[in-house]
Amino acid sequence: MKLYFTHPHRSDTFQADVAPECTGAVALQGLIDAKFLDPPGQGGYDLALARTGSPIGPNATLASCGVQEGDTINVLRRGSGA
Amino acid sequence: MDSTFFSRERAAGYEPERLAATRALLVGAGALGQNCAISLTLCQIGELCVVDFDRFEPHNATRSPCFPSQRDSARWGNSKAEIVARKLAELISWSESPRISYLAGPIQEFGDAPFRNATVVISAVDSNRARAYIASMCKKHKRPLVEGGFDGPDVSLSVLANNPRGPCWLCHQAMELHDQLRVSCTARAMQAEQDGFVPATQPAAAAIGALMAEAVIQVAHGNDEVLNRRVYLNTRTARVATIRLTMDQDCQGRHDWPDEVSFWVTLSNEARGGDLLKELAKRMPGPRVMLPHRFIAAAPCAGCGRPVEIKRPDWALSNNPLCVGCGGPWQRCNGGTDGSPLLVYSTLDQDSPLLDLPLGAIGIAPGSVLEAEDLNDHTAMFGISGTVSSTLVYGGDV
Repeated sequence: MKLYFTHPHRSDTFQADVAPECTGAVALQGLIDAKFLDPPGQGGYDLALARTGSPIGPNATLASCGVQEGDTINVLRRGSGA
Repeated sequence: MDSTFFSRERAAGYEPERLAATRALLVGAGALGQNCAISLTLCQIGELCVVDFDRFEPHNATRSPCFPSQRDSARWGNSKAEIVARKLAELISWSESPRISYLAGPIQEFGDAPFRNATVVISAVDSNRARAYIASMCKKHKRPLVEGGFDGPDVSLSVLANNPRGPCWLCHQAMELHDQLRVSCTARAMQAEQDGFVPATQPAAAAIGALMAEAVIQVAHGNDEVLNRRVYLNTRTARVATIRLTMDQDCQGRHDWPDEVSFWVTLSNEARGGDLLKELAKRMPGPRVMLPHRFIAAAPCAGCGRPVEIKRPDWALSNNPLCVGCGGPWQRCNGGTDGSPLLVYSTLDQDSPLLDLPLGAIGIAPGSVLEAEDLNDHTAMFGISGTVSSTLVYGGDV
């Protein structure tokens, strides 16, 4: 299915064809491999389905999180420094 | 206090009585913790306990509102927990609230008591291992958790109710929890953290510190709207996103903590592992205690691989897993340089070599709640009477 991933800092999006069985972790790694995202470093990234604001966990499949064709997935930067 | 003292706060929707009933445990007195603590102190919450094992260093100054002057250091030393507690107390010299205390050491050392005493816990630590520990203790004791962190201008803030059937901080986490027993892994994790570390800025720390303080206040007011959500904010672009946290069926954290403590045992301050088993044996046959942290008798140095004697809970390794020869605190013991075995214990029973060790050395602090199994595989939660004494309690005029 065709999905749109938002960047945590920039306004551009990354369009990708992703299998519904793809997990959150695999999707994130794909975005890093495609150079859309920098390596996570200390903090890490989270994914959330823009339509519902619900998280897409690393081990959850996109389908199990209710992701549908044409959805937008927000990529969010999680902080870990203090 | 006269009736106008809290007039601004009441107009803003705060109820001073609810704030006064709030007992906050703040773990981490760095930039984030200090900025959060200042707001909570000025807002007059009832109690604030500051916990940190670290000491102030010169590079902390530009993002530390409580950074000590030379005179402060001469009077009070350099412990972050103590300095921050004393500076906060100075800040509210006009009030008897909050009652401020501090614990200078790793949070794991103090066991369950600080969590049990708190009505809300604030996690402001910079290690995911520590975050995971704090989150698991909050889940165990069903305490609301306000947790934050930043990565340069990016900040995130989570508020978790920690109800039995709700999400915990570990739900939906991509984090890999490094095993602290494998010290070489720990060393790699530390290096990775150092490689990716983006230092705090004061504006980011102030922004998220304020958000965390407000979250604590809303939790105190019973505002369910703030619970089980995570906020992401970029302090440069002011871009904000919020997600609603849900329970992860595959969560690696424990969710099934029992509601009740079956019984309490009373032990002296000098009690050892064997003394605890004797007390338990009065209530359950052949008790076996699940240690709160795995006990490491020996492990390889993360630098040279030579075996070192640890005899401490696993968390004691995380800050410096090196032998004395490599600049660490641990004494070498006999053995080769390769494949030195880990000698680890996760339970305490009659056959355990830990019987003669003081409970503190095994990682069992006063006021802790633990699990034990008997000969018939029945499991019970039990508590150890006592509490961790805070080193300093401030209140009133100072």
